[in-house]
Amino acid sequence: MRIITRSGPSVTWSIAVYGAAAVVGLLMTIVLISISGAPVGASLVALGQGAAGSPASIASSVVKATPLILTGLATCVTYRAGLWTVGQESQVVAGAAAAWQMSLWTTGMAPVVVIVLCVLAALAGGAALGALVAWFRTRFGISEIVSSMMLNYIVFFALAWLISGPWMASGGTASYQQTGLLERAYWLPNIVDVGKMHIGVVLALIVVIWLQVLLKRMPLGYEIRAMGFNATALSQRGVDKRRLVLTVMVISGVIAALAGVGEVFGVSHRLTGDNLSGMGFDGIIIALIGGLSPLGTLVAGLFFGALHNGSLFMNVITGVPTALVTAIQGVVLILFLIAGAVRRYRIERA
Amino acid sequence: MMDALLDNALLISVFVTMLRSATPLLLSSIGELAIQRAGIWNLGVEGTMLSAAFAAYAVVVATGSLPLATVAAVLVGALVGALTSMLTVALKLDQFVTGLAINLVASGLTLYLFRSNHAVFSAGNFTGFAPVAVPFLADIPVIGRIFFQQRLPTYLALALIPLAWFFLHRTRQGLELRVLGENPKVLQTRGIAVAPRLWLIIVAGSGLTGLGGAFLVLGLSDRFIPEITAGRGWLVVVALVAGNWSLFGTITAVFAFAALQAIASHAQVLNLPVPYQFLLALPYIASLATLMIFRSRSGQPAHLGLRDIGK
Repeated sequence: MRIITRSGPSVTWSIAVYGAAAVVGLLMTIVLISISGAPVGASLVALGQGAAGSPASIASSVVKATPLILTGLATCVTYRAGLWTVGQESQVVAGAAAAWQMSLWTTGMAPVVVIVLCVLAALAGGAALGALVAWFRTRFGISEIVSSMMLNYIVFFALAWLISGPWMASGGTASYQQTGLLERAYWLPNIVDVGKMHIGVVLALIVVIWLQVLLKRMPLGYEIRAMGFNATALSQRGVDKRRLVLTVMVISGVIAALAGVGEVFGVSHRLTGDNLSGMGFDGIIIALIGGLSPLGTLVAGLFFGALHNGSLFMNVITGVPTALVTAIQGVVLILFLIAGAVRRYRIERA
Repeated sequence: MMDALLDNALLISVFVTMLRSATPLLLSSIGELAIQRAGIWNLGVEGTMLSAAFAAYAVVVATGSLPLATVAAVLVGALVGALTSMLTVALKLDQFVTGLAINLVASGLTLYLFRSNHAVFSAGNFTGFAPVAVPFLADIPVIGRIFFQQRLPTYLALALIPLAWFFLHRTRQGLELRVLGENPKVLQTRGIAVAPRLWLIIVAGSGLTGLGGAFLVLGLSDRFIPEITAGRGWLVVVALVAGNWSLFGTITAVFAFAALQAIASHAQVLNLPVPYQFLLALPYIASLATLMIFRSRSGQPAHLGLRDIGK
């Protein structure tokens, strides 16, 4: 027996490999649940019920999935361009924080005006952070991996300072810092009257379609994919790489910022130290599992968003920590990466 | 007079803290330097340290034994290294994606394992490494207090600096390791199998990184909290880049970061007129500034991060 590289993809083999990865993922989930000492069957049932057991739970699964889909899309556009940023995390926060500042400036104006201005401020905040990473890369040759990671920590501490000082709610304590509650009139409007189905859900869907079309059908999308594939060839065709890097980073910043403003203005209605944390990294996982395609990201985002939502119910019923889903996400990512590599090989009898 | 004495004590305390917080960074950055000089753009340092820190914590709570906990951390670090090798060397996956995936899975798994055994862990008390005074040397004024009343891993980390230099620059294996990072074909044409070497280097380097992770729990804080690494793994990567992949450049960057952390932890006593969050962010701001000022990449291994490695 020997292992040789395939000349082309095989659908059957791919399905077998990814199927095996999914089965191993499920087995790992069962192992992890048993480690916590909870009954496996009952926990899985509770997880499923919490995720999709009723119209209300489906609605909150979709709401939970929305920011993950958005940060996933922010990942797709950069990774397809070969820009390995990990700054989605700080772009989310920058968007939310910029929107919050705008809401303080515009208090008293008509709700429509306030909401529109806040969303615009969020986009500007995310774009600014994206542009900063692009500038570090094109002006100073600093790898976007390193600069975006450093910015994550800087933005994290900046937010910690803002909510413990200038923006701290009256009555806030040193141990739990947060802003006050956003005025009811300025909340993002709901699209349907179930749970917190805010308008950001629709925005996320629009971005999925827009990005899918952009990457597949537009000249800019072609340039983005070409840069990820062979950057040298692209500059020899006369494409301004600096501008392209900036464009891609700004697009990703804007999309991630939507996640931030949607979460704060549509769901939690206040900024705290932890309600935005982890969203950027979840998005990276989801985009990679979704094969860096916008539609794949949508599917993966809905799946894990539903699991995150279901884990709350599971935690109440059988006591399994909600972090189970975070752990599974990582495990599935590794399994899918392995599957993606194994897919390229076949085994032949010598 | 009294003021001068106080200042002196404060200054010594800052330096003692600096060496203590430099320890995990030193251990991990020496391990990581070996891996990157061999051409593997390993970004999973954060996840390797975190997994090892958790292993150290779980074992010390279960057994109360510091040596066992340390060994467990090194083994778990090496295990993560084996996973990294499988993904990057055997399956030739993108090294950035691999490192990121390692960090994400480590973050999720340690968080879950910690939470799901919370009752066991929160009850477990332990004492980490205690400072060991070196006879005679510890009695030297100032210097003795700073350098010779530290914990065992700190001495080990300091001793490793010249050893690592000797290995990298004065031994055949060290030379071959560096060649691996510049042009692995050279070794191949000499009939040396590249893949097993890379496995060995990644596993051993990650084991050392794991030792750094162990110190976070056993020497720095005497407890475990989720994300206890708090970006230190990334600081290690930045130290390599800022130090232009030379051992002494990297070590210098590590000490600079450690000094900033030491100052931040003394912020209240020092009574600095800035929010303490700014001091906590300072290592990251400083590393960005360093990269903006020192832009030389001449030390970067030519084959770093490339995927066409061996068979």
